[in-house]
Amino acid sequence: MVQMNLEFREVTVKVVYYGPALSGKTTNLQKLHQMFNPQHRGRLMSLETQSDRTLFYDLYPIQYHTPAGLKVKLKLFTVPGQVIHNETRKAVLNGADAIVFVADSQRSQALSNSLSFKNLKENLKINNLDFETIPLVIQFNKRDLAEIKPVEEIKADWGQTRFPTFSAIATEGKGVFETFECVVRLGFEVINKKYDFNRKFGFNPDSFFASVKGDKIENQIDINRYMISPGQFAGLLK
Amino acid sequence: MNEVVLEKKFELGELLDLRVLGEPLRNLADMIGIQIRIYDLAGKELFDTGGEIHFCQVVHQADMEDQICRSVREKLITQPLTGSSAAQILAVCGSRYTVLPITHQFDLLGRVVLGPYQDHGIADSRLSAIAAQYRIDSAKFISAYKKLPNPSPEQIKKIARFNSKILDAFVFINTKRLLTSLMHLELMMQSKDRIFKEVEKEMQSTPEDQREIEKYKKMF
Repeated sequence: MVQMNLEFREVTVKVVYYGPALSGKTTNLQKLHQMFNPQHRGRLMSLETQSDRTLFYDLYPIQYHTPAGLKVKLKLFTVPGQVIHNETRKAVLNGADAIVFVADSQRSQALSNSLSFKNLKENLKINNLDFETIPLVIQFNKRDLAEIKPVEEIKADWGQTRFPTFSAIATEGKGVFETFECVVRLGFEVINKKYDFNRKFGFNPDSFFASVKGDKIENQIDINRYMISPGQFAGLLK
Repeated sequence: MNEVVLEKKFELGELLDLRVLGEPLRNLADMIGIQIRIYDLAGKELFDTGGEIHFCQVVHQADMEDQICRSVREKLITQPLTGSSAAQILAVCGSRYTVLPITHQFDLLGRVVLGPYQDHGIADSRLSAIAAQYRIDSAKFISAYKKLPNPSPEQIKKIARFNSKILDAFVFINTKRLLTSLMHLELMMQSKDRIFKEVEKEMQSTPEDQREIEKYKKMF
């Protein structure tokens, strides 16, 4: 859950990228790193094996100061996707404020996605996090590959759920920032409702995103461009 | 797995392999002639390239030496630092210092102090005034001051940047190394617990095995 340290005027929000092995969680974080304003981004720390597979987690922090001087820290984590690393996944998920589930769009990966999604549900419960309410965005990654689940099917299967869905080609950075923006806006909305965050600390999500985006991508981001279905995000869309 | 490992904040002393780091820093200090010190967040000195500085020896002879040096030390370890920017400190004795923050992912871990060195372009009249104020022999004071390194602001910027990069690399690599080790240990402990539980379970379910193990236990 969101960590508030009022003595140091600091708020830390934890976003976890979950999903099966090789679905592109680390690639999402790597691409985000290139997209952020260097002033606000920390360094991507990957605890990986020699073959570049995530062994424990990747961590990527972003920091922003509100006009009222409150420090807002976003910590982005990925989990290792391999089935055997469930204990690590549980630990990384602990205290999550929002989640991105990165699914592999290939039809051949449907079972792997399902097992991981079920595993997420179980691990949320173990961590006393509510699957029914936690901000959760589904990203259908690898849209450039053959034999993928069509957008119409995704709409039909997920459109009626509360989960916003996005298409992405993480290796090209497509849909990456949009997914991130959606999950973070949902996360901030929950925090705002709970702590009256925006009024008390002069926090404005629009300023946050305008500030953390790097100059190079400032005009290229359109959250609707890669959104397949809005789910609970519909209420926040302008 | 213990999630505390994920949130663990290491102290600077744990992250700097001072035996390894000390060598390049000493070489750098020799090359530029400027003393380098490292302090942790609590103000504890972790590293000092050392060496007696003639100017400091002269100041130590002053009547108010204690007051002069204490005020400088206080400033060096308490000067507020923001972000990754260096702070410039002008000591009451006229020497200058650069203080650099050591951070990891936006968290302040400690600081590096470069100095003392000459305040670039300071006039002799100003030095004489300082000497008079603290009742130090003016000629001795000025002569010692002139022996301090005299880098230009541009050189100091470059030296500070070089130091920052070295320390940043050490802190980042060692944080990663320590986190990996801790998480690995956690997993090992879990595996051990799981194996013990399995063995216990097996022992309970097969009395014959249990008898055999009991027999072996007596033999070892």
